[in-house]
Amino acid sequence: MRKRILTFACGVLVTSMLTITPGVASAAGGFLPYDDISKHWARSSIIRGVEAGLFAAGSKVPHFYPNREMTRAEFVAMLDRVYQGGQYQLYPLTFLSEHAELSKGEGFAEPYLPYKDVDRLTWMYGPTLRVSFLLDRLYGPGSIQTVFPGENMSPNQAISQDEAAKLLLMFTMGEDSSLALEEVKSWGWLEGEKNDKLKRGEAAAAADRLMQYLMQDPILPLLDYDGQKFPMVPEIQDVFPLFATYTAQKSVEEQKYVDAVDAIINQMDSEQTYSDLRKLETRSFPNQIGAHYYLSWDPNITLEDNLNEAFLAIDAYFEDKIILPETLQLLSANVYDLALQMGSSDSKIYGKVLERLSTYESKVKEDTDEWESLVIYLAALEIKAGKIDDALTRYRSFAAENHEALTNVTYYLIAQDRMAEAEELVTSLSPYKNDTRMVQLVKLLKQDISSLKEQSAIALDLAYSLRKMDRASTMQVKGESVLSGYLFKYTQDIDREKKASRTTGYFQSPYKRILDPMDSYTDTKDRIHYTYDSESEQWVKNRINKLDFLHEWVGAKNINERIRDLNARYYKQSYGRYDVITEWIPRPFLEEKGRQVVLGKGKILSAPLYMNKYYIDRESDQLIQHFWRYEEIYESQEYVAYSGTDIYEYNANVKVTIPEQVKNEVSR
Amino acid sequence: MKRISHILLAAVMFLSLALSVSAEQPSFTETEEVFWNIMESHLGRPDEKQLIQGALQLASKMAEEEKQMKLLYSSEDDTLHELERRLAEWQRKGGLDATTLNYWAINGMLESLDDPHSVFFTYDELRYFQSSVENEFVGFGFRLRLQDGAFIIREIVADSPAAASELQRGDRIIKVDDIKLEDKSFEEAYAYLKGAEGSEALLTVYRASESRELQVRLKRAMLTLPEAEGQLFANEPVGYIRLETFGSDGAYQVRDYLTAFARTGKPLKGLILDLRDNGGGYLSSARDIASLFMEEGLLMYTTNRNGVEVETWVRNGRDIGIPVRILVNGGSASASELLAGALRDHEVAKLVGTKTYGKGSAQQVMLLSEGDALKLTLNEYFTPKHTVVNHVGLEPDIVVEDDAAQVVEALQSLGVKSLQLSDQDGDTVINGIFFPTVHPLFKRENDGLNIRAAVLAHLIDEEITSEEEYIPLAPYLEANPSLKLEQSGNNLTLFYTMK
Repeated sequence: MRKRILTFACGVLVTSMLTITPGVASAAGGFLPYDDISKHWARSSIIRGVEAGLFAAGSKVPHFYPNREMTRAEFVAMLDRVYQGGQYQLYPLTFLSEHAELSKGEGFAEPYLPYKDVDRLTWMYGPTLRVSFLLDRLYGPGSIQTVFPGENMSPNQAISQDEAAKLLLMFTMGEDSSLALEEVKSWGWLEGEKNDKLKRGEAAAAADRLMQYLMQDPILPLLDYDGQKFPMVPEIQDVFPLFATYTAQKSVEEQKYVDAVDAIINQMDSEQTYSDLRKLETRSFPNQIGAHYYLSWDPNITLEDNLNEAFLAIDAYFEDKIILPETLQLLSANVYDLALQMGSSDSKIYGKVLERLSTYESKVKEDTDEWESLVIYLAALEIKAGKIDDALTRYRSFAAENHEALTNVTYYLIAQDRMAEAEELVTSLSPYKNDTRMVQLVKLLKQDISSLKEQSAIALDLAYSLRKMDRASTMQVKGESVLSGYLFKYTQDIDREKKASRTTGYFQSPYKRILDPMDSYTDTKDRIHYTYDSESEQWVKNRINKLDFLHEWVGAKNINERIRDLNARYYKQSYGRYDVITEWIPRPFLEEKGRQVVLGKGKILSAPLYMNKYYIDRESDQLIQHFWRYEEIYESQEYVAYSGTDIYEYNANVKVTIPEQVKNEVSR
Repeated sequence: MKRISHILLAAVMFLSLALSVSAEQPSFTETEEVFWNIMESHLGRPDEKQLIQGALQLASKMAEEEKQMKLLYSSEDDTLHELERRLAEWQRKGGLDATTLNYWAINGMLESLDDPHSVFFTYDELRYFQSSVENEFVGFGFRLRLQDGAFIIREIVADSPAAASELQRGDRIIKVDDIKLEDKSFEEAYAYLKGAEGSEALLTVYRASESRELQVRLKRAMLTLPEAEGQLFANEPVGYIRLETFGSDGAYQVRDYLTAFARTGKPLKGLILDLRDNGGGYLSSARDIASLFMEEGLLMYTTNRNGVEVETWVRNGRDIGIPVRILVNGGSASASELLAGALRDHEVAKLVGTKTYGKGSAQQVMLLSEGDALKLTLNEYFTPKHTVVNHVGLEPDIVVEDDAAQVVEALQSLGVKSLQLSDQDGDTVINGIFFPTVHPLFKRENDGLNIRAAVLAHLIDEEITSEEEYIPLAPYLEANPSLKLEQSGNNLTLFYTMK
């Protein structure tokens, strides 16, 4: 089994940023990509923009024109490219996979622009459509018109600071589009006045600052929807160091060691690899840290033995008497990682590992980097062992300097209903101006705390709109969804007076080349369901007597119950005419409660994802659209992935009567 | 909506039941694949017996024709299992190979559909099919015309082997290797000229301007011809775009011509889009081209065998803003009919020419396990006004039979008042644009200079009752003062100005 530590090492953001770097000559060698930027103040931002693939460069593009105004289309195209590099940041709010082709949509309906002057067969169409689709997902249908109002986008007109800010707002926790420029200025991305036109050089600088921001802590730092984030531990940069420097002239033992490490890195390791390493362990090979560390990777021995080797590596570290905080961090991470693996079957292990790892604390000097690199894992083990107060004390002691410690202490204080303490701690911090990461984190934490304090108000708003929808006497739902690979498009007419609904539409099976029709009636009074089977050309009757899916079980709970029983988290943004509420039910809570219910699909094994986005028209308080994404795995090993978008129409002329013919001609 | 996933699940469950049909042992895998694909997806909902009998019938006929073998089957055979048993038996007893039997059975099933657009492709045929949609051909890179029994180069394709050689427009091809082209038909000449990519031939040509013969060795190459070609008509500005095929680049080429026309700054009286003999191509290309003519609107309805109707819309397009005439004929098919039908229904364009082919169906190419492919008809489409196209064709708004007269009529219906027609190097030239033709405008007969009656009738808008294709011009010149003939050297030009 490969260690989980590997996944910590994958900076998702960093790798995707790199992949979009174009094949143009790098500016590193003193060459400038354009001939008109050498004296411009934003020169280095422009160069970094070229390196990140934001701007076209090469022999055919000699100038950048940094002092010209940037057009709306140019800015949108630049933003599209920044998004592609930094989309990971927005994932909790978009739930768009990294490879989603935004311009194609996700179902039958292809997205299009609400403008008359941006045509399909133009260079700007693709990027504009992608950004528009993204805004739709984040803020509701037609949201690009909040930025550029009207039926014309005037793509070749210069973009204003305010318009640029409304677009950049998506990367912040700014919750109100009318305050976009203030929010974006507070991050230092833009500097001008509302109606000032944005110069190309300024745009490059904004993009550069934004990319820097996207490399650091994400928005919603306290959100942990999949239960994988906390306790937070540092990201390890190099999981496979040699722990020593070797020259081309190596002894036989050194050669064996280097070969073994190579084999492990390239996943070519065999029993021989580890028996070679074991020989190094017993002799007087000086690099005992390395020998023990890599033996802790041996899949042929038990996890206890791996753990033992991991501790022996730490022993060797202290025997060397050389202070290398990064090395101690990796060695501690290694111990923690093994504890996590063993902890899945035996939660008592955390206490034992904690006790053993604590013995090293006396060997390091308090408040040093070396000390931090050890205690961050001690605190994580304390959390895992249930000693939350101990962990909090520990995290608090260095929260002002350490990002993970600060995020952890804030998160666990809030989890313990100690919001005021959390807020006090975060507000009391005044990080150094040059520590941009800490500045960013503190600001995001403050914003996240204030959104968490709004939870009950947001829940009330949402509950109100949902109730309003449930009370509408008639309604039409137009939707598209994907259920386990089947793609559906439907219209559902709901007639609450007649207690009946009808759903018509079609679906694409992943096993067929052509569409199948869909037609069904639901009798909500007698709880009966009539579905037309086009293969047998007959109506089939079903009784609705139990909940089949976990998401149906959640769906039947009201918002207060979701907060109380399932620890649901809500986040509200106001953009243009909509209030958008995003709802997450964190995986550990959903699984714990979900396992106690019996569903039509059987018992739930795991529930990796449950999220909803509700789009509410601010004027009428009506819920006008709902997006969802759920993933559920049942004990039968059935994997259900269900996502889709429903659009609600309250004024449609809807009348549903279930025909007698349908009721009578049914087969069973 | 809370119960929607339940409804969806119900729909899915029926399907999985329908799918749980057991498979046969896979000795004739491709036959099986084609069988199931047709059974599940073909627009015509054929029954099993029809396919099985079709397969058996063709296989036994082919065996008799090609191997003089009598293969017997029962007219009661109506399952895939029975078909495979027969094929296995014929393979064993007749010593026939499975690949051949597969091909016969597959083609037999397809023939039984009475659908010429459902076609089986071998790997090479598929490649050829895809190339032709993209207007890619293997060749030397010149186009010929047949003039008085001589094959003369009328055009050299840019970036082709011919363009890189010393061949010139107007050169007459005498020999291909050792074969003389004199008195050969177009088809024969084409057969000698074509060959595999990379193969060579020695061409002997005669250059009249230098009165000498020369020999050129050329290698055949894969050439991508432009999908669209365009130009402005002389005199009164009208755009002309001819689209050869709906490949993946066609829409961009049409767009570029429209941009180029706009850049001249001349206000156009209209646009002629020539879709004659355009057999179609990709639907997506037709939609993109439609978006160059209309801002937004329904492009078509598509239905399948399950009665599911889907709308396809054009979005984010641009209104063309000038009157459009689309030239169509019996060779305008599929995507051509789709585009012409939609633009007509939205009153963007009028159709000029003859009735279109009538291929209102859409196919999908599916790859088979052995590397071959099946192009199968899955959908029928209808124009935005629900006009049926399939097997019917579109009737033009202005019916004109003659090729040159179609252009004349289109121009006049756009309000063009002055027209100028001549014959040049085997083409008919109308207001400066060359149209390849088999019928010249003028012929010298014993009774003097004759003109093609159909063209003259449309030009002067008079009914001409003559049975003859060509009629003497002189009486019309006399009677019609707005008709003038000019001669410079050997070239005759007919002028007509409407009052």
